[in-house]
Amino acid sequence: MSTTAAEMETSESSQAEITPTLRVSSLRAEFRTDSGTAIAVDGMSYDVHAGETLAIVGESGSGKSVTSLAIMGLIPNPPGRVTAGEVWFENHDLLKLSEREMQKIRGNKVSMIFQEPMTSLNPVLSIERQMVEGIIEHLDLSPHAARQHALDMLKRVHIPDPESRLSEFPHQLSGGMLQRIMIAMALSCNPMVLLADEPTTALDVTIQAQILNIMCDLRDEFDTAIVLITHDMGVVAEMADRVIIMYAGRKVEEGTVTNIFQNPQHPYTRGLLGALPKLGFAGPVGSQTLNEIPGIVPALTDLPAGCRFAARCSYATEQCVAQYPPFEEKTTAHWAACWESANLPEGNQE
Amino acid sequence: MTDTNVQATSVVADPEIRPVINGGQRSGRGRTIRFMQAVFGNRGAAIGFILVLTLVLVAIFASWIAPFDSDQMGAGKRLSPPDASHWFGTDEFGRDMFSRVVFGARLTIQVGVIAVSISLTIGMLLGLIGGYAGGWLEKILMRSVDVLFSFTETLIALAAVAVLGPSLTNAMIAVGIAAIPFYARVAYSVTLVERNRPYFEAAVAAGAGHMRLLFRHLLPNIIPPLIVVATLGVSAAVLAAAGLSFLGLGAQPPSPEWGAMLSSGRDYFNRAPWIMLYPGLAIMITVLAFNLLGDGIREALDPRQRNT
Amino acid sequence: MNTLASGPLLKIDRLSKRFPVRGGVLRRVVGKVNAVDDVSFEINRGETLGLVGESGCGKSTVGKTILKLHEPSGGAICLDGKDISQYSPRQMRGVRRKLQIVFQDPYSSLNPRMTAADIVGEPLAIHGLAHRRDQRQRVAEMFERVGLRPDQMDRFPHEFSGGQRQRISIARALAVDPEIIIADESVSALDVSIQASVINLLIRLQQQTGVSFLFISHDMSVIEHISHRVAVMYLGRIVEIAERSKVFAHPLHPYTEALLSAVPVPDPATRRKKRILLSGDVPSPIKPPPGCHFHTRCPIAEARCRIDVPALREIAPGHMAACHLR
Repeated sequence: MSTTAAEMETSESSQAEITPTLRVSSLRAEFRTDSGTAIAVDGMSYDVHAGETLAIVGESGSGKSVTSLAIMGLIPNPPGRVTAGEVWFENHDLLKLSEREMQKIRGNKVSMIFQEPMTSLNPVLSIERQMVEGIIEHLDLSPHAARQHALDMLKRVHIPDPESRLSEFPHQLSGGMLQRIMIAMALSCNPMVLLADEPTTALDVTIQAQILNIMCDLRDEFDTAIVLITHDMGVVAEMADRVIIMYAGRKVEEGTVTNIFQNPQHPYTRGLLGALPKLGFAGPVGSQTLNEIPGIVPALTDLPAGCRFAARCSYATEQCVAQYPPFEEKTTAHWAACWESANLPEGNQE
Repeated sequence: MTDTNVQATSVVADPEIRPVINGGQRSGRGRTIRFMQAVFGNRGAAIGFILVLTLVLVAIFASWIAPFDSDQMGAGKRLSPPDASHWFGTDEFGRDMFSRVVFGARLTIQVGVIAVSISLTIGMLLGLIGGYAGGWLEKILMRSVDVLFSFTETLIALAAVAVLGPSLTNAMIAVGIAAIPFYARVAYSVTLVERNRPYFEAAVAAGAGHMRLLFRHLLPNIIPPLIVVATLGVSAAVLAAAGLSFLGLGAQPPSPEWGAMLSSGRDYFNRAPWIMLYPGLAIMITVLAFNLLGDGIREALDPRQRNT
Repeated sequence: MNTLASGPLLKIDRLSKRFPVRGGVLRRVVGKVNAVDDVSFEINRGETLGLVGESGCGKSTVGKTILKLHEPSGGAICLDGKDISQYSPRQMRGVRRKLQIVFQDPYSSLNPRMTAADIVGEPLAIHGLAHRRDQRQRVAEMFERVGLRPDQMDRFPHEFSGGQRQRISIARALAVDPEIIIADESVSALDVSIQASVINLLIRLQQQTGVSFLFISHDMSVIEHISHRVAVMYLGRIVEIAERSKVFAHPLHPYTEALLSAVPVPDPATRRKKRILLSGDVPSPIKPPPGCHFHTRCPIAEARCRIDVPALREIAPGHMAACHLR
């Protein structure tokens, strides 16, 4: 990868370009495993701006979750380690901060919500305790004011009867309710960046719709930059302004949501779109075959030299196997790492 | 969000990431090797393993290692302190303490293996059947186990010896019986977990009969956690049997059982402390060895590693 | 697809399953959950019935009760015209060959201490359908049929990827030539690209063997793709059941409408379309609301919805729904 999209974006755009809220550049994270060193994230770069939603899409093991854990300094060491890269936020490289300094930023200016709300909350502490502690710590409010703030936040995420919810414990609440509380907690210190890791994957679709709505509203109200990590192309289409597709630890495509969905430049993106059953399919059962991506993701401990998708790609050439393609701008504000993108057929899927 | 809420360790436990990080396909032999690596990667477990191995070798080759026979009186002067010819000194009959401790390893290994085999086999079957059967059979089995469990093991062992009569064999049986409730409870709880896993339901749905469900599906899956418990259990059994012998209810003189040796050394403790010191040390090291090994195996069998 | 005139392959009639709720220190029974409440449907030969609903609606319990992994509390389960709901475990063993299941979790649904060949061959051995040597042959055939390499059949489950394991589960279900396979969230745990190939496989197998599916899922798009007919469940009851095209193009129950409207569509162009947003959570099945269970979240509920339980009735030809207001 010669130039990252993030760098090109800023160098090419006008001086009026606002500095991004969060800039990740050339991030690399490794895990030591029994079968060797796994490169979970390899040269990941992105910018995210205030009020914008950037979606990072990928399947299991693509490195999408590890990226945000690395940003938050939450990769367990050992076995994991961030071996290269920078994470710029408010003129600091977060990776160089001490644990103490990170604690001030975590949950305050940069917040994170996880897929399983149940496991991210402490089961033996009441909701009030967990919410208010963070608020007191980061916002320097009196206990009374902090409680009031917590109540306000719960109302913002449409939690009925917030007073009594405060005194309850996580196991007394449903998954949807807990995820709303997590969002309220994450946003209670008015963060500039919200990293949301599969925030709705564990939820039912009607609850998911509510949560996505709340996230959109709050983003617009507080001008938060959202990094939405997901595997669900439907959620991406619904929420994102820009999209990054990751595969085996690397960014393979980046662009606006319209570009990614209507004119994907990487065969993997096209494969993903074609693999989805689409609502509104009316033909007889069996009349439409979903696109399959043959094979499996390469082991992160034993990555090929060339394009990591080549073994599963129907357009792969000798060059693809031998050499990793550069991540380059294919059309305006639309990057992909593919040697063959010019030769892909018309249309947006396989 | 405070930091207590953050489950950083979940990254590696996340089943989505794990298989890929570790590579897709791996061989069964590789798994055994990784298991051994996991055991030996833990320093305590490695020490435990080496100690246990040493103990077993000493027991096997006792007659080659020991310079004298364990019962040979007058092998040296009476109650002579440790020196070059009698490393651990001699006892009140002039028997070589080193030889007695070495031969004692045989008895100890026997005690550990036989007592644990009794409690493991019976306890495992009771727990397995109780957990599998459900209904009245489960209630009867597990309530009886609970009643037994409410007595301390020593009490049960004492009662058993009282019925059977004092001898080392009976002490082994008594110690074995005393620990049955413990193994039964562990086997029961593991069985309950396993029988709620989808693979078990799948086997029921396929029409599998009782024998197949019990011995082909449940048993192989409850054995690994029980192995851990059994390894730790060896040290408890060794200790309990030594205790019985010390009280005169187990091995009888002149048997070189460590507990019995401790007991007969009591009278000479002021003049010849080595008679109690070396058997005592041997018991301590054996208990420590099996505990370290058991802990190591438990860590190696940790679900985070086992499920990959 | 050959729908025989002899009646449906599987007919579920007013099936219910109640679980006791225990509470207090003494774990006494303090109440009951109607996990499945008066559920009726039919599945014809070669047909897929999609059973869709949110978590806790009882859809998986329906599947497990049909298999008698749970004893039904009431109602009939007629397989080939015979009611098996009162069969003893021994009698059940005789009919289990016809009814197979594929679970959601590809990791825990295979016994980790058996080889893939033993797992797939087990139903054959149980039902005495093949001698030892024939069994290996048959297992190899099954492996090929589900797209696995027969030379890998002596491996253990952990040596396969998630998608491959799900294929092993399917091969196990298929080995005894069942008449119906209950697929309980069978593709939900898989990555999109893998999920696609398993869905394709299931459809292809149905075309080849004429097996019927009860396809249980929470994913509306997958249900629409694979099902001939669709039943929608909410808190233990079926609220709507009809041909797939009817349910998806002209949903009659307000819950079905909301469910369809909540599905995020993978097309940014449709993003700003108007959605029916349901307020609140699914109520606890221990204390479901009286009357129509859905009235607490229903945008059009009226007074009587809070009192009377709406019956599942034919509102349009071949289109049943349980709503007072349609």
